[in-house]
Amino acid sequence: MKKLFPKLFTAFLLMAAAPQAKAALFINNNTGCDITMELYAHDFNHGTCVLHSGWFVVPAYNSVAYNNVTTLNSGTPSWLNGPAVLTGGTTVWGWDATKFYFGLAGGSGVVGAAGSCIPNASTVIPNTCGSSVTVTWGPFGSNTVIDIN
Amino acid sequence: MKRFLIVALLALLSYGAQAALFINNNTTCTFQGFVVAYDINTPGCIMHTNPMTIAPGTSYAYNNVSSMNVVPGWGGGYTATTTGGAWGWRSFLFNFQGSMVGGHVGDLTCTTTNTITVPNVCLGSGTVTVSWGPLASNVVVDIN
Repeated sequence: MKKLFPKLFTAFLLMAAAPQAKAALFINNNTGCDITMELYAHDFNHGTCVLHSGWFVVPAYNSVAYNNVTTLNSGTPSWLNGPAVLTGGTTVWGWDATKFYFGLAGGSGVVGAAGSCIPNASTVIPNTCGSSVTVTWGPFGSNTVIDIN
Repeated sequence: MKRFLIVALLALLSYGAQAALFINNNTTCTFQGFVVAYDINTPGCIMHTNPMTIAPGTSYAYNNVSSMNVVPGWGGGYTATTTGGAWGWRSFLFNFQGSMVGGHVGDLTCTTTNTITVPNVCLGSGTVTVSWGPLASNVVVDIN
């Protein structure tokens, strides 16, 4: 165990350090209800939470993926105040937060990255979509995932 | 220490809860890929998708095995189902578009490795590393 602990501790430190390197954003709606969301991000020209997307819908039991902040320079959703740039790499740009609501089922909330404009990583929306829904924001490895369960 | 081990065990357990598959190409190269998965009717390592084109700097998301029924579709025209919750992602086969250079990464059920580094034949120098890993309760294939 004495030998194992430093290894585990190192692994833990690596996990803790990894979120600094931001890459893709994944959104995973595992509920039977459509969720409407907007995103906040930052880059070389926009401070924390300054990049702001239009509203978009992640349908029930669907997932979406955005490779980097410039992925939202066109298409749906897109930045309302873009374009975003990748200047400086993943230590300079990154995903910050989301605001969301359930249209038909009702209920809304916010989650986001530590140190951002919305620093809470998890929220529970009671009495929606049949029971309650938990939304989490997590940096895992070099990527960020929003899980809706 | 006990608490730390419990957290570590929980992290391992969460890997077993199947959810979305994300494929994340952070390179400037195009790949061809196939996903191997299972459902209640097709256990093991048999069910595989039609070839997928993985574009440079692009990410893909699939909520569950039935999310791949239309695009890219499953080999033999199979329709995957989430019945019984008895489904999951197994592995990812890839090669550089127009090249035989590639590899196979997965959850070690159908493959022997969850990460592989191959020569970057698209740029002609350097390497590309493809990894298969848990991302919360999801799976992510990172191409870097």
